[in-house]
Order: sequence, then structure tokens, then C-alpha cells
Amino acid sequence: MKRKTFLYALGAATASRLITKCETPHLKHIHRYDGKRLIIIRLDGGNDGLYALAPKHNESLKKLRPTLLKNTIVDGINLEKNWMLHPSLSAISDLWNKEQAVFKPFVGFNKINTSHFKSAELWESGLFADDVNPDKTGWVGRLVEESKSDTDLFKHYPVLKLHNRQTIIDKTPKLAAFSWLEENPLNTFYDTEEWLSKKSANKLKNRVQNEVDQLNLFKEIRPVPNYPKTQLGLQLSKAASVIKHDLPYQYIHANLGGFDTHLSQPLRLNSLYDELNQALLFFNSSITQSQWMNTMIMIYSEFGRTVDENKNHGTDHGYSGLSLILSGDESYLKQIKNLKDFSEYSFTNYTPILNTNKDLIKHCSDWMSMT
Amino acid sequence: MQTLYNHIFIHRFRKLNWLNNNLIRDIHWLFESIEKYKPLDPITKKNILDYCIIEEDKNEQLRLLAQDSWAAHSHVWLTKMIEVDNPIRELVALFWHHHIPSSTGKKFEHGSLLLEIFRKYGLGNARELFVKVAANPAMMYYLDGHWSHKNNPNENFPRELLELFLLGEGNYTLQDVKEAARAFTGRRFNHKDYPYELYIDESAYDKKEKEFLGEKGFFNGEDIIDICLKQKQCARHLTESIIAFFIAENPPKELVEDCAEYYYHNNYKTDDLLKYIFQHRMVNTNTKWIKPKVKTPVELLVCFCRQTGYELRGIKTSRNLLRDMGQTLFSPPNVGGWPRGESWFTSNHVLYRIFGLTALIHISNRHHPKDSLAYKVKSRIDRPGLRSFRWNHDGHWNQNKYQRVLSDRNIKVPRWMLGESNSMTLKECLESENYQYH
Repeated sequence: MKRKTFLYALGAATASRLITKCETPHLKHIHRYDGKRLIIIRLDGGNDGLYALAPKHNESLKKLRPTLLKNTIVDGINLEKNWMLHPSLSAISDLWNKEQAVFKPFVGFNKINTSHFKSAELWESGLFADDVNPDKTGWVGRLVEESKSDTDLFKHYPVLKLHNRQTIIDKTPKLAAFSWLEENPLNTFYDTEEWLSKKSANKLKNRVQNEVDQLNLFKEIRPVPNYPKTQLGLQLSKAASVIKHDLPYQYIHANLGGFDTHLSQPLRLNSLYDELNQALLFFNSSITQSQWMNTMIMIYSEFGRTVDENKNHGTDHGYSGLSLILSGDESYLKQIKNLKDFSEYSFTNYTPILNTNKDLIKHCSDWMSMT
Repeated sequence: MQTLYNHIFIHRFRKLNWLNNNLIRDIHWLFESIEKYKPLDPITKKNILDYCIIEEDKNEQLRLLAQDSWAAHSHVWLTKMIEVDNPIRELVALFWHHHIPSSTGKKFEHGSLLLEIFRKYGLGNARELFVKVAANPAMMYYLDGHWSHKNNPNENFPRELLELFLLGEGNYTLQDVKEAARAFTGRRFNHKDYPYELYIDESAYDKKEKEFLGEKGFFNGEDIIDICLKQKQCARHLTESIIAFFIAENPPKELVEDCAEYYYHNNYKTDDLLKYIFQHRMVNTNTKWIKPKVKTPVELLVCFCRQTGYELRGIKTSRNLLRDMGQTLFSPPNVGGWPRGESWFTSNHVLYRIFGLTALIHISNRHHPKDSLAYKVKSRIDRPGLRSFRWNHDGHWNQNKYQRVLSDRNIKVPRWMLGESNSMTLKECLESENYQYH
């Protein structure tokens, strides 16, 4: 473990012990939730799965990636069945060793799609291209609606968004997630309560009421301090804070951009994997063991990359990519773990598709629905 | 009977001084009185005072200009939308910016050139617009078109050209994308000298034969655009997007087909298409499909300023407020563009949409520099919650003139703002649900 990473973990562990639950009037009156939570992290741009996780002894791969393979194979972390993990992802390998991580190397769709826009939409809708989705709903949104969440417990829609990206993952015809962003407009527009009291019920009033209630809730909540000062570090520190305060949000989605590595891939991905690793390590250190047992993290990217490297030390849009599921619930992960040896596989320019987006989402949604 | 066109433009984008009954407000006026095209004048040291609320702000505004020239230029564009009598050119440019999202490139001029393409060619022939857009440095940077090589054709721009801009998904194959990518190889632009003209690097350009949408030939980028425009689906895709922007979402297939046929056979002339749409029976009489449409943040702010005579001041005022409402011009969330419909009512943005305009009125007509004692005292006493808002926004509003103009014409505020005959104050109108919609 690098020194910087160790210090972040130490900071997180210390800070998390010092957090006391703020008892503002809004917090006092909400129902606390300590059940299962799913955190969804999208690696935005199309992460090169084979750069993160590669078969060690595959000759066809070595021919197609004479340069890109080196980082992972030579300096990487040995897993099982001849798979090597990128050296920056030590936090994930630690979880792997505790059987708290599952790798799904080649996840795609039933029909190939290499458009950022369309692939992101397919992942977020949880559907295939030929499925009908006229309202453009998201799979998380439909899951919440179908589960008919306890409305006493979940007074608001139990989905939290931690980034600025446009997404449909939580969208339903009626609802969308609350976004925990930096500035709280209630500090500026403090006559919203007066406006609400004068308005007769209508769609907009309900939406504003919903926003105001949640903005009031988050007025006193801060991210867990001493988080890694990165995009994902801040998002996961907020997620950790939500868990530590037992706030009623079952689904939390985060986003890390920059993975569209057509050129200079090693330079960019090494840094991004570092960011991912530190953020995950910080998050894991910020919550208790029992909270981790009740948390699952799903990491995915809209597609993978080409197997062969291009002339700009990068890769282009591919067919299937790496997804990960991390959780403290080892017994469940054992059931879905299925990493095969790919030493003898004959790679072509494009990766095979072993699982689809629906398969991965099903693993997570099944876990969420289990009591 | 008031046509929907009247509702769209007269009501939606009416200006405070548009009460002169001698001017004929109809379709013919809209397209015959278009101001002659002239590029927007960027803000410079010479004209900075025009954007200041008080003279003492000059140095601070110059500092902000140096810090963020694009915030300033989007403010210039917004000011044009507000002040011009006939807004059709700017609205069409705004439509194209929504339909073909892009960021601003690596230099100020990359983005300003793209904006001028939308303004100059937006009402004309769509082919000319798309050829120019494809050669623009901002677009090439945004979708990686500036380094595509025959040995490694980059598919980003060709893919979005087919999927989002011209044909729509499902109307081309993956192989078409690859072939289009080959046709767009070798395109470079002069990085040093304005206007950063496109040229072809012959060593990087794929000269070999390609097969695209069933046609074979030695195609280049312009040829790809031409072949796309030959498809009736292209006319449908563009027409549907135009109707959704100008009239309402989810237009009926019959309307789209009819207008697309017209567009296709009229050489993709966008001004002719708009005239056709505005006069169409399904837009004027058979209008059950037309549901109220959520105003985009730009439309919300422009409508407010045109209707009240409010003058935005400070080069970052409009950018700050639009950002808080969820839309930063030339900074789309992704290549798919901005949200549509009620997706604008998300998160913090909904509060800025509802309360931001009355806040603008409240903080208007600042007389003192921000570092003065008078300003500091006032900002702490008069609605202290708006201190941060007051710091980041400025405007000038002549309330007496506004009230006088309406009372001279015996027009009540809600009738002017909302087309309603009930009794509401300006604040109530601006904070009403109806004001969020067209």
C-alpha cells in the first residue's frame, strides 16, 4: 500500500470515529435507515477492462497489446486463474482476498453498441436496444417503484445523486433523484416556505416541497472529512456520510469521468485508477463492518475498448468491458463469483461478451430485494 | 382567432416595447424583418462600460473578462436575444446549439466561430450549416475529429453525426459508422491563424473507396453529409427536432412526415420549413397534441427580460444564473445535449427557476461599488440571504417605465406575463407554475 493511500485510510478511520450524528430539527424527525444500500459508480467514457484486469499468459493478447499490457502483467497484482489486476487497484485486491469483490470481465449488450450516448442510456435503463422504453425510465427508478418502498420510512424518493452528469438511471415518469451538490439554495431563497404555504397543490409545488425537505435535511450534513481531494473521493465521502447518519437513501449513484482513452491511455488510466482506489479505500474505512455488510458497490462503464492498441498509445470503443461488484456480504458474492481462466483464449480485435448489462443489474437488484 | 404562432412569438417572446399596434405581427413580419446578419461584437476594453451597472465596476469586469471570456461572450449572445426586435435568428441559432451540442474548443475564437455558424447559416440551407460545423475547431476538439488518421479512424464525430445530428439511431449500421470514420480522416485545421481553416492532411486521409448507406465511392466528409441528406429519414430527424423545440414535444407522425417532405423537397431550407410549420393546420387548429412545454433556462431568462425590460448587467450575471438553473451555454452535460421537458425541474435548479427572477428584481439598480461601506451595509440589512446572489448578479430595471407602459395600454400584469385575466402581482406571476411553461 502506498504511503499516501495509507494516510487517507488512517484519516478516514479517525474522522469517522469523530463524527457525531447532528440532531437538527429535520434530522430528528426523519426515520433512520440502516438497511441495504446500493452504490453505483459509472466510469464515464468506456473503461479499458483489459487494462485493469488481464490474463497473464495469453499469447494472442500480448501480440495485440505489446505496450499496454506491460503495466498490468509485469507490475500487477496476482489474482487467481492467471488474472492480473492493475497495480493501482490494491484496495480492490484487498477486498478480493477477503472474498468481498467479484469481477465480471466481459459485460456488454445483446447487440453491439459503441456509442457513448446510446450505451450509457442502455446501461441506465437496464435494457437492450430493442426493448421498449417510451418514458425513458431507469432501472433504479423502476426497481424503487416495483418494490413499493415503505412510505413511512422513505418519505422521499430513496435515490441520491452525487454528480452533475445527466442520467436516466433513477428516472421514472413521476420522480427523479435528489442531487447533493455543493451549494444549498435554501441559504439564498429562504422564503420558499412562505411560497409553499400559499400554493395550492400542484405538480410543481410537490416537486419543490420534495426538494426543500431534502435540502433542509442536508443543511447540516457534511461529507466525511479528510477525504481524498478528488472528484470520486468527494462523492464517496458523501456516500459514507449518508450511511453514517442512517439517512433514508437506498440507492446512491456516483460518476468518474475521463475513461475515453483514445490516446495516451497509460498516463490517463494510471491516474484514474489511483483516484478510484483511494476513494474506495477511504469509503471502506469510513463505515463500520456491519454497514459494509449492508452495502454493495457496482462499478461499470458504458462499454469496453478494443483489444488491439492504436497508434496513439490508446484504444478505441469496444464491445464489452469490466464490471465489478464489491460488498461486505461475502456469502452472496460467493454465489455470483465466476472468474474463468482466459490463458488459452484466442483474442481478436474485440472482446467477447460473456455477460450483459441485465445480468449485472440482476445480481445487484436480487441482493437488494433479499431480506 | 389568435393562432398558435401568435402565442409562440407574440406571447412568449414579446418585448416591453412591442405594444406598437402599427407593426404587423405575423408570419410574414417574422421572416421578412430579420435583421441583416452581423457577427456579435465581443466584449472588449472599449465597450466594457456598456455591461457595467456603474462606472466603478470597470476594472472588476475587465478582470472577469480576462478570467472567463466565454462567460462574457455568452452574455453578449443572450443580450442580443433580449434586445433584438425580431428574435428568430437567435432562436434558430439556439435551436442548432441544442441539436448539435458542443463545447468551446481550446481557444475563444473556436467557440465564437461555431456560434456564428449557427447564427449565420441557421436559417439557411442545412447542408451548408453541417459542412461548416464539421470543419469547426470547437466541434473537432469536442468529438476528436482533429486527429483522426487513416490507420486509426476516430469514430466519435461520424457516429454522433449519424446518430444524434442527422439520422437518428437505428437508421445506419456499425459498418456505416466505420466507413464514415474513414471518410473523415485527415481533417486538420490551421492552429495558428484565425479563422483556423480546415485543410486535409493527405498522408492521414483515407483515399480508398468506401461504402456508406448503400452507396460506393471515394467519399470524404462532405460527401458523407450529402449522402445523409439524401435520406428522407434525415429530413424527418431534423424536422422532429425543430418541431419539438419550437412547438411542443412528441409531435404526431403525420405532422413530422408532412413537414419533413416539405423540408426535403425545399433543399433543406430551415426558414422555409419554419414558415411551413408555423402555418400548418396541426399547429394552428388541430392542436390537441400540443402540451405546455417547459421553458429552457435560456428561454425563461430571455422571456423575463423581454417582458419586463430588465437589463442584465455584469458579464457573468447571465452565466451564473443560467448555470444555477441548469444550463451553461456551450457547456452541455454530454453530446446528447441538455435535458428536455420536466427534467429541467431537478434538484437545486427548480428553486433558481422559480425564485431567481424575483431575486434579480430585488437586487437590481445597484448604485454603490461592491467594496463600499454603503453596499456592505445594504447587503447585510436588505434581505441578507441574498448577499451571495447579490454579489454574483447585477441588473437594471426601470419599474416605473414597466408599470407605465402596461397601464398606458390598460394591460394587467398576468395578462401580459401569462395570458391570464386573473389578478396577480409581478412576483406572483414570475413564481407561478405557469410561468415555467410556454
